[in-house]
Amino acid sequence: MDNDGYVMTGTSFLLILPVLILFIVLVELNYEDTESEVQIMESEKILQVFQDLEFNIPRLTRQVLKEEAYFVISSKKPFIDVRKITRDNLQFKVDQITQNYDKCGLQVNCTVLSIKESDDPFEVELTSLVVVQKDNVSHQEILQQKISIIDPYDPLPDPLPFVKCNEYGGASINGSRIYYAHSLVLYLEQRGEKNGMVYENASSPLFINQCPYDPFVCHGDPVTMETLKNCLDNGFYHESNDGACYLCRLEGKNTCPHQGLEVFILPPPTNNQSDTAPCSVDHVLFGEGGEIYPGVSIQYHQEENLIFQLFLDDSHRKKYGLPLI
Amino acid sequence: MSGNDGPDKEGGQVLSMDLLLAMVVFTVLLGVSANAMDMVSSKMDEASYIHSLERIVTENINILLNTPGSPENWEEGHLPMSMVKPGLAQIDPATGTVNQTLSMKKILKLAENYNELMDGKVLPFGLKSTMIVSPRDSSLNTITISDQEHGETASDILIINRIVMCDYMMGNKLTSIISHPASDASATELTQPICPHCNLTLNFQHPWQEPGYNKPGWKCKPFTITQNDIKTTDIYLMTDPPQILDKSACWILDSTQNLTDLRFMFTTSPQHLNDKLSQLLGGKESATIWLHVFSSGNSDEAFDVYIGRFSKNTPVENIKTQYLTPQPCNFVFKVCI
Ligand SMILES: [Zn+2]
Ligand SMILES: [Zn+2]
Ligand SMILES: [Zn+2]
Ligand SMILES: [Zn+2]
Repeated sequence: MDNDGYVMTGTSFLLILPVLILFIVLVELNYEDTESEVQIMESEKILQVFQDLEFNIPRLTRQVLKEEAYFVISSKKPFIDVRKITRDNLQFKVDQITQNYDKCGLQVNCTVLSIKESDDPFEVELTSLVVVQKDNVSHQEILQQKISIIDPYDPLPDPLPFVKCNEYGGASINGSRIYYAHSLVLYLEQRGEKNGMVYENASSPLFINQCPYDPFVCHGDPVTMETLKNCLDNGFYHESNDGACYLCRLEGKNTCPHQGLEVFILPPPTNNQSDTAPCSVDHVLFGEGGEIYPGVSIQYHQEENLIFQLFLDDSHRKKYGLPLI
Repeated sequence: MSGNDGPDKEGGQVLSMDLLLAMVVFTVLLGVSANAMDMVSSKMDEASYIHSLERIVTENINILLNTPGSPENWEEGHLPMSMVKPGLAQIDPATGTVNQTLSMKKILKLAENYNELMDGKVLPFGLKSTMIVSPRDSSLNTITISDQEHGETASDILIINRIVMCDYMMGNKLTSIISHPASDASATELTQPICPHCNLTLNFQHPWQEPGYNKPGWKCKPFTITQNDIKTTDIYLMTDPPQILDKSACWILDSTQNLTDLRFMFTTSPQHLNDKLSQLLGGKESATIWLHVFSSGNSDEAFDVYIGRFSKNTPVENIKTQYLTPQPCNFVFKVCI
């Protein structure tokens, strides 16, 4: 009985063996097949993630800068190291986006490496490292983006005036302009400047907008000053070697070594024309004692007996194509 | 089965007969299954070859559509085509990054040198393929990059179909005034530039058109033009849709140096601006020009205005607003494997 059973089992096993081998081979081939299909889908998903991030990072950066600017405006305290803080704040926002990919089984890691000024003062330069991984497929890339700080839909405010005027009574926002009331006069008085009174109730633009009148020398054309008037009405910002870039403005600096921005601070229209007063450019007016220099009056508009004027030195007159002193 | 019936010498023989029988069946089965396995595995081989080819081609087409190629400006032809790895993605001139739009210049260059750029780089040698970019907007021409006859012997055709944005780059947008409500409500411009007409007497001022109100008003925008633009290109003003319903609509073109109230009506065909701009520029090398557009503010009659630059002597039928902004297209690629 034992013997019989033994022989039969061995035979049956031999009979089954090829079937088993066949089965194993079939399963293996099939498995490889589906695996390569999955890989295609994954690499497509990874590409999609890169495109998503490339599209979203500029928007998030502007959002972070805007929040920081309004934080400076309300707290009146400039940042010590704005580049590091911006990087951290942006990292937090980017992480919120990348976490969403976990649901799709993708591990997305975007590290903001640095944020710094660009050659163009209306941009900031951002470098980030993106790593996307799914199971055994992984892809990494360094993203270098120049991000415009101009957004017609959601413009960025200039925080500098609020920092500078903090100890002198502050500045206030009305619509899209900043009004200085008495603070600018006090600021200039404290630094021993003469004729600071013309800046009683002065104003300057709140939002960063790029001046379309390029080259700048055309501001002086025509002699009736229509171009300059329109530039001042709109409160356009201009590229400047002396003025501070946007990131340095968040640190409360009026000048910086980078390519920066400058804007005109306008005295209110008056009945009696003054002759000289501190130069009406923000990086001069917000300077420390030695940095402030005088300018001579330019009348750019008149309404009945109200005179619209600003004060400029020769180098700024030359830059904007205005008549020299 | 005779095991229990008693001491039997034949018992062993019965057993070996049984075994023999089993061996015969086993041998036959082994032969059959070996044959079957051979057939299956050769079929599998073929399938996995086609499959890996499909995979390679699909991935290479993805790369073709999502990268600018190397060198990035290969379409300018500084390098011989044999040293180029093609890619069709456009580099954003402002930021220098790759944007999700195909460049028409690259597409045309690829069409010119199709085999040289594709064989051995994007496709394995010797495969016949068809590549077409067909705009969703049927008024625009379909671009056939390659149309190679499919042989009768083709065993399998791989088709890749993608929706892409394609920049026709026939023209360059100088400025636009968009009145069509944006699909995204947050994407409406909050600040409009202050028009230089605000310094003129009341009749000539341009009260803003508040978004969302059905009130007539002006929308004004500056743009910069150079003497060179006027000399080397044709500049046109056009609207989308070309035929506008708003009977009160008109436009002014002037500069702060020379403000005017000279109003023009919109026409169905694009209007050539070179002479007007040349007058406004005078002898200057470049100038900032203002475009002022008046409209009824009625949302049913809303229209967009564009000013665009086209290469000299572009035929009038190619002067279209669609050529100024990237258009959605179907990218279709077929290859015989
Ligand atoms: Zn300006
Ligand atoms: Zn300056
Ligand atoms: Zn700086
Ligand atoms: Zn206007």
